[in-house]
Amino acid sequence: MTPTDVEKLLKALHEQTVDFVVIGGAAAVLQGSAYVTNDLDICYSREKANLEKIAKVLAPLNPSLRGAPKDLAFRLDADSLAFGLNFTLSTNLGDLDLLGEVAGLGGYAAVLSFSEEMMLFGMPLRTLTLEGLIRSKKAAGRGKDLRLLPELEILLRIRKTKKP
Amino acid sequence: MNDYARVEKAIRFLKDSYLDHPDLRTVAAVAGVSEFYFQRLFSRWAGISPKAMLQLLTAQHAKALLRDSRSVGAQDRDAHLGKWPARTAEQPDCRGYFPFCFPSPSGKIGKIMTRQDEEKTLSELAKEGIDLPQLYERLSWTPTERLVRNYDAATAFEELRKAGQRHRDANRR
Repeated sequence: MTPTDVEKLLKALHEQTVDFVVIGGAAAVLQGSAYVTNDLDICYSREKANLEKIAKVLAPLNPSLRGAPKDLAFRLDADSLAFGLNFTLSTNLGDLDLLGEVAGLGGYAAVLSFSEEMMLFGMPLRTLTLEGLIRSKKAAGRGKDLRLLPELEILLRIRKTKKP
Repeated sequence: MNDYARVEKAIRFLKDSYLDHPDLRTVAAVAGVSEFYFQRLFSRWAGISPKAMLQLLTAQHAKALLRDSRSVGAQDRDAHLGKWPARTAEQPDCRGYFPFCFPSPSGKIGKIMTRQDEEKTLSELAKEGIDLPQLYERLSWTPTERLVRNYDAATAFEELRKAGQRHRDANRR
């Protein structure tokens, strides 16, 4: 996934006014972490209108289920999104993970309360806060999540001391 | 030697000697071109500058050590702090970071923190895989810059992986 791919993807989501929050590795990078990620994870609202917007954005990008057999039929539309919750997708613009819920936080409304606005490629987009990242990484508990915690906690400490 | 061979030779050299922090002139000499030409050639091919590649390799090394549950030993600490006495524009001065952020191991803060205290604090952080000067450098970037540099680095790693695979395949033939 190149920077241009990410920009295109975020722009498409923004232009369709999709309700989403950038989470996972990309959110950690946005907060200043040295973590290197090659995909994009977002938490999305499961309102029907939002599912339709997501399907409209992704349909031209030839989405498929990552890791699934190539001959497995998959059509991404609002209905298929409504039947599932978390989707790991490959698209023409790279790997995209759609999460309806985030470990340690909950659904979109909860994730939104742990988000902040950042200007990305000239667009005001929402990303998970350091507090949200720390909570979710602790809850996920995988090795790669736990290894990230010390750095996230340092970043939080710096941010708290810098702000009046 | 064509450009591909030059970059491949330089990458192999960087991978073998990154803990010695070779400068641009040395790596360019290995590739057999001028510093200026090498900087442009490498950046165009790998998507990141030679210096950024060096930083990534160092960070990956520290992370690998952590994965192996081994502490960052003296040699690694030297790699992080080796240029510490000579503070240059390329090696951000950490002194200013400590007053509001980290009490020193001896409890001293701010300007009265000694060089030994600073180095001890930095090496403690390095054990967690955290390079404080680099962290502060990233914080000086905009969120978009952070994102772009991340995906540039990820793309470069993928290119390196593919180049390595091509090299192995060619050797097999």
